[in-house]
Amino acid sequence: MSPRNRRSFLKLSGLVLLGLGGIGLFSAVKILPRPPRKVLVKEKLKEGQILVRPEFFLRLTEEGPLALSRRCPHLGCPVTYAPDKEEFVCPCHQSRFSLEGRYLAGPAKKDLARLPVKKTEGGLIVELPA
Amino acid sequence: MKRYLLFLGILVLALVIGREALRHRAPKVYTTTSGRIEMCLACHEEKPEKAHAREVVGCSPCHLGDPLRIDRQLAHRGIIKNPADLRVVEKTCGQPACHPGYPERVKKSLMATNRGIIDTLRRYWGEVPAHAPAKRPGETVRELMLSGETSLALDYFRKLCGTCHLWLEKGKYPGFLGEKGGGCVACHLVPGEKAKKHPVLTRRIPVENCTRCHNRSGRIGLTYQGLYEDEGYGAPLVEGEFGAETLEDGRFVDLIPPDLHYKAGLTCADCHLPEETMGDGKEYVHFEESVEVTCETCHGGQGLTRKGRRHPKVVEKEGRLVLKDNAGKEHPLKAPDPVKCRHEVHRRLSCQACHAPRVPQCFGCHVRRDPRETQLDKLAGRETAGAWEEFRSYMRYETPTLGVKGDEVLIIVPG
Amino acid sequence: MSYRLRPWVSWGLAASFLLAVVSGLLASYPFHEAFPLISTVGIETVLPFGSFLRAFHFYTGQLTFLLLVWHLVEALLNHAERRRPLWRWSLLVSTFPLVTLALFTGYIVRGDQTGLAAGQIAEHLALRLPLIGLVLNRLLFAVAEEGVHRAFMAHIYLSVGVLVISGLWHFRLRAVRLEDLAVWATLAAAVSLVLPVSLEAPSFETLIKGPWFFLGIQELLRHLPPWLAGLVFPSIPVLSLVFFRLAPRGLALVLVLWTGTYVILTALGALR
Repeated sequence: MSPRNRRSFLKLSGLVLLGLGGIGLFSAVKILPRPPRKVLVKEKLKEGQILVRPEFFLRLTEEGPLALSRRCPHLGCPVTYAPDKEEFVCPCHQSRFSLEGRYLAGPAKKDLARLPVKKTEGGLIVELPA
Repeated sequence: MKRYLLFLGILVLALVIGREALRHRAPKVYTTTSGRIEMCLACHEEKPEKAHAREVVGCSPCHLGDPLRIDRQLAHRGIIKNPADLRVVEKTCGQPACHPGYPERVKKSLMATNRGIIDTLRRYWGEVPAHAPAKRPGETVRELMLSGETSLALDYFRKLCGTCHLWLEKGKYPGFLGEKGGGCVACHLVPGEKAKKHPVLTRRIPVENCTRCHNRSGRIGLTYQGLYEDEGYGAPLVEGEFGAETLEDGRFVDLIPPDLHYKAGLTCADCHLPEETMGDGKEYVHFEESVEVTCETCHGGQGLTRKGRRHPKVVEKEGRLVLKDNAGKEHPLKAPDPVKCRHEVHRRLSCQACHAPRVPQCFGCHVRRDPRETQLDKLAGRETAGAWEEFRSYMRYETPTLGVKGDEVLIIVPG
Repeated sequence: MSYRLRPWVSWGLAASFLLAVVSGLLASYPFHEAFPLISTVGIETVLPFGSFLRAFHFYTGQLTFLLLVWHLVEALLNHAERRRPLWRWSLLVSTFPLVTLALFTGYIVRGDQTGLAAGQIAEHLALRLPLIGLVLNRLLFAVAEEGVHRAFMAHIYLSVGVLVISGLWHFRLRAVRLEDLAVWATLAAAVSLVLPVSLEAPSFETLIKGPWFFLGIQELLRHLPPWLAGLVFPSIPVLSLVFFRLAPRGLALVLVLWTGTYVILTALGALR
């Protein structure tokens, strides 16, 4: 094979490999879709009680049950509950939220996300995002 | 140089192997039913009661420490023997996932602050002007523990009253004094089975847990159970030994007819609401402000306390009101007699005026302080100058005097 | 004045890195990324020599990072940027952020409170990068969707990748001597015997502290918006290093000032 042909052959092979690599990267980067998760809460909530679960807080309000995502709107750390201050506090950068999830102070600048809650005979079902 | 390094290397290797041989490893990673890791279970076999079962709660949510470790020193960093102690209770019993809100309430309640005792003492001993406001800063048990402030009345309080509050560390003082205090545990803890190696938390608080402290002054804890602290000095003597029953602290008691409610099987916690015993969030000074259950709550009332709160144990059954006690037993509630209790001429009489035929009354109260001796200051935990001793002239179990307070006719007793 | 790099630092770095990668590959056997914390606690408390293996891997990793910083400073003092084309210099300098990232993903992989929070923060910051943010997150973190899986892969690929690529050049000069490996292994083993590696159980603390080398950024994130504190600020030293030859004195000053600021921020974060 002449050098010119060999060079163009290698260039083409390189492009083909690059294409394959690109396809591979595209696959690797894809995240397999998952269905949204539902959590069943069987406990009977008392007035003023705040139920703490790994991904959300649940409490009863006049408008009905309120589920607040524990993911801090700042950078995603799990927000914790400080009963002595009657607030939700993020342990990473100390953003503070009211018991309704409204932003009070800190770098978060946004309220806690509200999660959909459904009432069933078995209890309350909280829907977590996928 | 190389030889030294080689020697060091071999030494370190030997230490690594040696340490591993001596180390006690766990057979597996222990988890609770919710999937939380709890390595404490690898070594500890204690079994509390069902509500706080070891498989469900584990050990670390209450006793803290590090549940991810197996090395004794690392695992026990930050460990707490009595989780209910008010100094740590927000992290343990009162943590967000368990019983939040209670620590704040309890710390403001009279059993934690003792505001009434302190206020009354200081007022009667002239340390505070009569018109001074009742709630004064610094006059609670916790603040006195931290400030060290003292005066004649406060010294008396520290030395003779200073063990009957919730801030006392359980087991700090010897004998019966060590049974008192401990925060939540002062009321909610009862001994467990020996084989289970762990006491038990309960909502069915037995009378003993209350009368550990409520056995002085008006002797309510004693009278309720049918005990009377008499002047018999241990009589009758039986073969040269004292024949009378004693309390834990050595006082002699006689047996008298117990309260009807005690006979019916009711404990203190069956009538007194959580808002009274654990506080309702407000910081009261005197117990008259805090206590809200009245005789009328059950008898003739609609199950409402004098503050308008619904009594949690008074429930309706087949159209009638009954009291469902902590043991689950239902007690029919007798209505007040329409003439004896409800007649116009008896309107001003309190229930006790007739229904407490005899009441223990303590006469001739004397207190003496000897400045030459020292005595244990139970708030500070050390001996300080001045030893107090209380005396009385005599105790009698007598018909009480009636007196008028406001619009009511009440019984009045000294001591 | 030509500054000479200290050989023991450079070869110590190579030896520590090699030890970290090997101990890491050994530790990856008992590790299950589907339940990271249980695996880590299992390695720590159940596996024979597990606690030692974990500590050894951790400390050789920390030594790699610290020696790399030292080596980097020495290279700058030696004006190494002058003797290499820009692309090669960039490749060498990139080992610094890549090793930091490898160290960081090691924390995420633990699956404890610090690790999971760190993963969430990294994911959110990565997603804020324009254009490449999504792909970068999918390759490195994606903690919310996939737990520690992708961070674990990134941890392995980054460490092995940087070792191989930097090793290809460095080890062609001279192979790592057995004595270097033995000395640094002994040092790391001695430290592993004495200092336990942290592991934080989930709790209701209102203040948690991230990995020590990111305490400064954590503090800055409390006061400045994320794109400034989490993306622009950490890019300053990296870019200064890459383009060092353009203005050595000026950029050296920038690096010194940045380091000084970072030390102060770290102190503030640590003392909370």
